[in-house]
Amino acid sequence: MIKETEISGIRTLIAPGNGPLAAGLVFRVGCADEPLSRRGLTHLVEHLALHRHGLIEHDANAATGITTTHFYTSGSEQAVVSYLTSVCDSLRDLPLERMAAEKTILRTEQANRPHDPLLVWRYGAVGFGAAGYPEWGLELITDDDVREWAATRFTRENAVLWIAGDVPAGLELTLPSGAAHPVPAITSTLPSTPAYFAEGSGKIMLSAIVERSARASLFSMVLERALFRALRTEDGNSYAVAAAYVPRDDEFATITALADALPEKQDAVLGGLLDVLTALRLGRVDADELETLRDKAETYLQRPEAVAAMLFTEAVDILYGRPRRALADFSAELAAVTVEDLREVAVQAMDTMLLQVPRGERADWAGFAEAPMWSEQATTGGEFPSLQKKDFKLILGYEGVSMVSPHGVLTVLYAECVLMQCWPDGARRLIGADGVSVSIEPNVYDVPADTIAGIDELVPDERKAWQPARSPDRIPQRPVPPPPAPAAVPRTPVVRRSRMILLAFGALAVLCLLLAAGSLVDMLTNPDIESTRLWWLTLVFIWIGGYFLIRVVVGLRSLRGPRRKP
Amino acid sequence: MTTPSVRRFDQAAAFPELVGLRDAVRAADWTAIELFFAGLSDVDMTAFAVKVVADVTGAEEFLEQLPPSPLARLLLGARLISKAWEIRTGYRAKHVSQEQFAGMRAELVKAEPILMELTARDPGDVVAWSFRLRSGRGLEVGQGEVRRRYDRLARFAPHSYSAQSQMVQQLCPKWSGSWDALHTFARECMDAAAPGSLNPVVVGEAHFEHYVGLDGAEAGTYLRHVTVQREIRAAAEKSVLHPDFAGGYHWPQAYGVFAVLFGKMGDHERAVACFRALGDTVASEYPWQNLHGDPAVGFASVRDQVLGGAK
Repeated sequence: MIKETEISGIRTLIAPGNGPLAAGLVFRVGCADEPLSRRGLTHLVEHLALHRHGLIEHDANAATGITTTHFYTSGSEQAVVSYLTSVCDSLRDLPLERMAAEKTILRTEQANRPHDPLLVWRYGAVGFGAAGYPEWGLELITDDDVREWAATRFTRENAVLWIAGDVPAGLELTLPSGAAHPVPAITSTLPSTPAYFAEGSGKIMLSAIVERSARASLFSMVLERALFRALRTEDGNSYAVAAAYVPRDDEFATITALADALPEKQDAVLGGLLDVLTALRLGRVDADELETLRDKAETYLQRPEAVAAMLFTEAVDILYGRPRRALADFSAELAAVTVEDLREVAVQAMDTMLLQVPRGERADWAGFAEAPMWSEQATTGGEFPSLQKKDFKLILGYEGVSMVSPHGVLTVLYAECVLMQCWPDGARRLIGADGVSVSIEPNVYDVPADTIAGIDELVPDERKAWQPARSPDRIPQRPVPPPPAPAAVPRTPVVRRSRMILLAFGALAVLCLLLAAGSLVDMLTNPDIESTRLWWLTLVFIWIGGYFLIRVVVGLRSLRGPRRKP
Repeated sequence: MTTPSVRRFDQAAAFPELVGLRDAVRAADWTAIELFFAGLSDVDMTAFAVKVVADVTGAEEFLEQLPPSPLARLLLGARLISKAWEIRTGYRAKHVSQEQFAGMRAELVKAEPILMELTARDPGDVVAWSFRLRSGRGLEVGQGEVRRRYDRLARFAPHSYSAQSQMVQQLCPKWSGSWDALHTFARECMDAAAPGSLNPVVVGEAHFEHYVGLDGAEAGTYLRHVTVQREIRAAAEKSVLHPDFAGGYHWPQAYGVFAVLFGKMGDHERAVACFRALGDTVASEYPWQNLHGDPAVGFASVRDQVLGGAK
């Protein structure tokens, strides 16, 4: 049914449409092709390519994906021709004067789009992992970058055109010649799977890598239905439940799933989801349910918009270098799926699964390994202890930077640093190829400006993204030094009083000792006096006098004591 | 005067067939074990018998070797949970070392996937679910998740005393629950239960846990509150003091819980009735060991208080 041909040197797929004329131009370039320091480049090119076309009155748009960029439209022959021609003309000569404005638009669009931690935790900060980051490269993108990207990626050899309907008259597309680009290399930061990590709250998410097949696609529908029934209908703990199957490359597809949860029910949603996965892995799928979902999938294939979707998928497959499959084959494959097939896909999914659980939850008890959060070792260099947290410090060296904490170490080596974000207040964030990031906040770690300048010299300029100044309330403040010791209470009155007491004691001591001496003299000069009583009197005076003398000595010492303190 | 005790704080000892089961486990006699469980249909009695097997130290070595039938897997899962608790010991959390907690978790992490597979294969495997309540508590999976497990279980067995008794522990503040949640749950179990059943005992257990969980003056007055006393009496009247009460393998624990409560409340008549039912030779570990490290001492002190040392 689908005819493969060539139009203006571009591989083209044509199928009879059952609605208005529709067409799309797919390029094998997406955000997984961008280095993190140019993250946003493809999206920017897409926006610039659409700019000249102006306000689009008919159905037309474009989408930048992980591995492809797609311009598509439907409408009259004239509208389709005019849109595709305009896109190609623009791609050859992008309106670079629009760059600043489009960057601002992209930042606005970005603000509403969360990054994808599942991609980052699985692949790191390169290739498919870079696609998980926000468009952090926008600041660094130059006119030359845009020109070069358009000239090398948006080429005839790296594109496929699809048309649902008859080829419109006068369709002439001019694209530069270049090379076909293979899908970016697959990287991994997970030593073992299934694995989990804890981040965010309010939802449980997962991704798994499975074969590309009709049965795997059907499995994602079974998964969604099973999750919906368990978590929403039966447990009443989730509202939003979804699963999806998306081809990743020529061989594998990514299955993702999500279930939301209230904070107090997060643990129950996690437990419920893990039980659903276990049941699927053991092949517990009702045969009736399989039939229901098979019917749903077949019905979908017969809807009018399915032709365009199939053409797009096949266009992508050509770009991936995957042999094309006829729709009839896919339908036959779908018709043949058994419960055992679903179990086999579930086992594949479980073996490759990465699970995102809310902060504070764990999944080790269900056989999931903790995804590595920390680097293996710290670098060497100058140490800067945190002024806020005990036992936290930065190590800033000639090879790289580390953040050392009691929980673990984070290290980014300059050689593996894919992006360093720089703020005018001196803050820096370095991101390594493995997705580890280290933040340097000069106020928190007391890092002098010349040390920051030293790091700046060690990271190449093309990886340094200068950020706009942060508002003062977003800059961490240097911890307030401990308050000075409370002003000393005037000591003088106390001292004076003790001095007066000491004086009195001293006087008493002198008096007693004088009396003792007197009675002693009296005793010696009048030996005939009955002496026992005098002896006693003398002793008593000596004791009392001695007592007061000791008090005076001790008192003088304690008076001197406090004066030594600052 | 305390008589030298021949009493064994071993609930299974009251039932010769359970003593036989334990011997069969020690002798690694799988045929005898399978035969025994084939003859049991009551969920709570089965759960109790599984716990008897699980508490045989070292049984995991034999259970691991068995062909993986649902019963063999259940017994192995349950045994690993008991092993985890042996490592943890029964002391309060502050007296348990980090190594002990880590050792406990290591066993529970082995047990949980075994039980997960059992409940996934058969969502109506109530006994497996009830052991997942215990593993979930030890793994600290959270109140919401343990409650979900109980709700899954209750779809098939809405009146499982052994499961409800696990929930009593889960809902205690010592496991991050709350007294309010605990008493609400216990009351619901009692209200839904048939007269003469075991379920109202969970109200007694909830009050006992509350009593031992308090300190000093509060503990002294807790059991004197009229509302508390009224609820304990109502629970006993609907269970152990009801003419239809049987209690299966759990009667020693059921009488024990009320013997302590009535003894401490000073309800002489009812306390005597409970002690009389316990007889001279048998008692469960719970609740006696929670009164005193040596259950015999806890038992003797309450009994002497009630019977005035006359016996």
